[in-house]
Amino acid sequence: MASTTIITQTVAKICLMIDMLYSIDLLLIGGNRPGGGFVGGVLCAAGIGLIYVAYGLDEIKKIWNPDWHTWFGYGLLFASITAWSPLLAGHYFFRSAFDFIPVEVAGIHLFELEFVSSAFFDLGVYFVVIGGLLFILTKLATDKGPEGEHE
Amino acid sequence: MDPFNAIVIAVFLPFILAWTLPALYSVFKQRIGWISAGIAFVCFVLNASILPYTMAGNPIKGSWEWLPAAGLSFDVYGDGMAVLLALIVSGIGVIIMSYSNGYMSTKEDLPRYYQWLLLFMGSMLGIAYTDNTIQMFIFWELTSITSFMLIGYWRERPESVYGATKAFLVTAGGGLFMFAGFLLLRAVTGTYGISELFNNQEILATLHGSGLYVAILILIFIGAASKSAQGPFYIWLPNAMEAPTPVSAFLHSATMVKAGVYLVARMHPILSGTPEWLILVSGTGMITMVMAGFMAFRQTDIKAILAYSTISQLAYLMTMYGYSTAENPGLGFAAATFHLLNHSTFKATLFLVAGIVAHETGTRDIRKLGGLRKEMPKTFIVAVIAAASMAGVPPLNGFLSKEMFYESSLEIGELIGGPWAYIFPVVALLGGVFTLMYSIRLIDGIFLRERTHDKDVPHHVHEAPFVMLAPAFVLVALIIFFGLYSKFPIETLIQPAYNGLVPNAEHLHVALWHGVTTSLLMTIATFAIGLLLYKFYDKLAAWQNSFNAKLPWISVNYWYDASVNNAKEIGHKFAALTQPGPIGVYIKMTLLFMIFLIFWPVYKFSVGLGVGLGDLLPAGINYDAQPYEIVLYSLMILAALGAALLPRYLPAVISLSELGFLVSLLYIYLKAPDLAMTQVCVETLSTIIFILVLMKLPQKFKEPMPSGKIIVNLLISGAVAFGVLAVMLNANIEVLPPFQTFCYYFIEKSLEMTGGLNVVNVIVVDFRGYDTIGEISVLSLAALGVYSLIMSRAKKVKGGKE
Repeated sequence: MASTTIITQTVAKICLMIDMLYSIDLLLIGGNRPGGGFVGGVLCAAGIGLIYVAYGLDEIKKIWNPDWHTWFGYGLLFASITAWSPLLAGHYFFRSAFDFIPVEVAGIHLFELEFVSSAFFDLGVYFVVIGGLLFILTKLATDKGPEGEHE
Repeated sequence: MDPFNAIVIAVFLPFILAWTLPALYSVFKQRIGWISAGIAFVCFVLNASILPYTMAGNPIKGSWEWLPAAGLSFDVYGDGMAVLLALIVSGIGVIIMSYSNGYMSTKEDLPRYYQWLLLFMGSMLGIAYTDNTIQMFIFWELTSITSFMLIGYWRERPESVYGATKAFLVTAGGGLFMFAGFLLLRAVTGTYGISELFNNQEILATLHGSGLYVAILILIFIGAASKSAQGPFYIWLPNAMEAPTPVSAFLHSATMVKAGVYLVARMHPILSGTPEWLILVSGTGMITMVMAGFMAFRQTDIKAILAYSTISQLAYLMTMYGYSTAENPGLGFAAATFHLLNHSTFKATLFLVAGIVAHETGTRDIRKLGGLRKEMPKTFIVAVIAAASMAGVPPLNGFLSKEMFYESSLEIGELIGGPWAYIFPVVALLGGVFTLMYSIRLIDGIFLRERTHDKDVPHHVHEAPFVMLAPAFVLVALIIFFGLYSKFPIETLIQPAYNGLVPNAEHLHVALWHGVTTSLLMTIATFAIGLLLYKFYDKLAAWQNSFNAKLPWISVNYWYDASVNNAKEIGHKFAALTQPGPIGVYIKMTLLFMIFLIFWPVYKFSVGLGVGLGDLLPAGINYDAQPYEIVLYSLMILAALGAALLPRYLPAVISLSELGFLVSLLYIYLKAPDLAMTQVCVETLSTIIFILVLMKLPQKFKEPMPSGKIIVNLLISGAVAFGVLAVMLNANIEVLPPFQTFCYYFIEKSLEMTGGLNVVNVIVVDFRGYDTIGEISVLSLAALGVYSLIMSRAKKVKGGKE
C-alpha cells in the first residue's frame, strides 16, 4: 500500500483515541440517548479502518493482528446467550430486565447507575459489527486480485 | 439425584462441554481424549441412575417448558428401552473415546474430533429420551449432521467427502420422510407426544382404522430404514467406513445405526400389530438380511465386510421387531432388544480389532493380511471371541439372541401358517449361515493362513498398545458375561424395555441349555451348512463380481451416483442461467421486481375504480420547502448526478459518498440523530472500503456504455424513482383506518418496560430483539460470503494456471 503522509498518520492516531472513547460511550449510553451497539461498532470499525489506511495493513498486522472472524462469531454467540439466559431464571425467551443501582461514596448518594440486561445484547451486536466489517475490510485489502501478484 | 434432572443433564452435558474442548486443548493437549471419555462416563453413570426406576416399572416422565408462548417444551420419557439405548451409547462412548487415545495421532485436529464425538453422543441420548416427535426429529437430524462431520473428518480425502455426503443425503433425507410421517400422525391423533399414545386404546383404534395409517407407517419406516441402512438405503453405510475406525465402531455399528431400529421399537406400541407392519418391517428386514450377508462375500476391505455384516445384523433386528400379529404384537420384541444389546458389544469389538490391525499393519485389505495370530495373540483372541459371538457360538451372548431369533421365527411362521411356517425359519437360517461364513472369513483372512509377504504389510507386526487393547478386553468380558450370566442383562435391561413397550409382556427365561429344541437343531444346521458352504466362499465372491460387472445398473449405488451427478449438472445449468456474473444484471432483476411489486397491485386493484397511474400521487400535498431544505436537496441531486455522470471512478465514488453524508445532514434536520450518526459512520466506512477496492482496479475510467443500454437503464431507474416517490408520498398521508400505527406503544412503554429513554435503541435491542439477532446473523453471513467469494476466485485463478 502506498505510504501516506506523516500528517495523515498523526491525525489518524489522535482520531483513533477519540474515536474509540466515543464508540464505547455510544455503546453504553445507547439506552437513553442516541447511540447503541450498532453505531458504536461501526464507529469503532471505522477508526480501526482509518488506522489501517494510514499506516498500511501490513504495518499494523505486525503489531496487532486479531482474527476478526472470531469477533463476530463470539459476538453472535454472546447475543444469543443473552437471548437465551432469561430461560434459566424461568422467564420467556428474550425477556429483558433492568434495575437502578444507587452509587454511594462514603454514605453520600451520588447518582443511580442504571443496569439493563439488553445492554449485554447490545454488546454482542457491537462485536458482530466490528468483527464483520473489519473482516470484510481486511480480506478486501489483502486480496491479491485476479492476476494473483497484482499489487 | 432427581431422575428427571439426571436425564436432562445427561443429554445436555455433552452438548455444553463439547464447546470447551478447543479451550481445554490448549492446556491439556492430547489428553482431552481422556477428558471426553470422562464426560461420557459421567453420562453413563447418570443413565445408570435411572435403572432402578425402570426396573421397578416406573418410567420417568417429565417436561421442561422453555418457550411456553410457542408451546415448545423439552419432553422426556425414560423407560427401559430409552435407558438401554442410553447406556449403550454412553458406555460404548467411554470405550471408543478411550480407544481413540491410542488410535488417533496426536498430530490430528483432536478438539474437532472429540467435539463432534461428544455432540453426537448428546444427540443420541436426546433420541433415546425424547417423548415428542418434533424433538425426536431435531435430535435425529443432529445425529445425521454430526455423523457427516465425523465421516468427513479427513476432509482432504475425496472418498471421505463422498462417503460423508452420501450418508448425509440418505439419512437426513430419510429423516424428512419421517418428519412428514410425524406430521400425519399428529393430524390423525392430535398430539406430538409419543408416550401419550401408548396406552390410549381409543386413539390407537382411530389410528389403525384411519386411511392414513399405511402412509404414516411407510413414511416413518423410510426414516428408520434410511438411518439403519435397510433395504435400498443400505448404500451409505459401506461408504461411511471412510471415517476413522473408532468413529465407525461408535456411530456406524453400535449406536447411530441403532437409531432407526430404536425408532421402530419406540413406534412399536403405536403402529404394530397389523399385517402391514409385519410385511413392511419384517419383509424389508428379511430381504436386507439375506442380501447384505451375501454381498459381504465380495468385500476385501475388513471394514467393508463389517459394514455389510452390520447391515445384515440390523436387518435381524428389524425382522424381529416386525414379527407382530394382532393377538401377539410383541412376538419378536424381547429377542430383538436382546440382540440389539449383544450386537453393540460384539460388533464394536470387531471394529476395534479392525482398527488395531489397520493401525499396526497399515492396510485393511484382507487379501494382503493373514497369519497375524502369532504376532498379535491378544488381538487374535479378542477377535475370535467377538466373531464367534456374531456367528452364534455358545456360550456367548450372540448364541442366546440368535436362538431367540430362530425361536420367534418359528413362532411367527406357525401363527401365520401355510407356506410361511417354513419361509420365516428358512430365511432366518439363511441369514445365520451367511453370518457364520463371513465371520469365519474375517478370522481366517486376518489371523490364520500364512503370512502373504505383501509389500504393504510390514515384516514385523507388533501387538497393539494397551490403550487400544483394554477397551476391546472390556467388551469381550461383556460378551462372555452376558452369555454365561444372561440373567443379569435380561433382568436389568431387557425385561424393563420389554415391559414398557409391549402390553402383557411375559416374564423372560433365557438360558444356555433348553434341551433339544427346534431352534437348537437350527443352530446346528447353521453351523453344518455354513462350514460346508465356506469351501465355495471365493467362488461365490467371484461370481458376484462378474455379475456386478455385467449388470452395473442392478446396484442401488449406480442409481444414487446417476441421480446425484444429474442433480449437479442441472444445478450448474441453473446457476449458469440465473447467475450470469455481471452485477448490473442482478441489480436490474431486483429493480424490475421492485417495479412489479409497486405497480402490479395498483394496476390490479384500480381497474374497476377508474383511477389511473396519474392518481398515484396524492393530491393536496403541500410541496412548500424551507430554503435550507431546498439547498440540501439541490446538493443531493448534484451529488447523485455526479456519481452517475463523472467519467472517472474516484470522483464518482467521492460524489456518491458525498450524497450519503448529505442524507445524514437531512436526518439531523428531520430530528433523527440516531439515524444520522449511523449514516455518517456507515458512509465513512463504505468510502474507505470503496477506495481500497478502487486502488486495486487497473483502469481509472468507466467503460463507455452503448446508448441502447443507457436508455433501458434510464427507463428502469425512472420507474423505480417514480414508484418509490409515490409510495412515500402515500405513506405520508395517514394510516388507513383498519390499521393503527404502533409507534405510540413503544414511546409510552419504553421507560416503563425496559428502563430506556432512547426509544429507537430500545426498539432495536429490546422490543424487536428478534429482528436484531436476525440482522447480526445476516451481517456475519455477509462477511463470510465476501470471504468465500474472494477465496473461490483465488482458487479458480490457481486452477487456471495449472
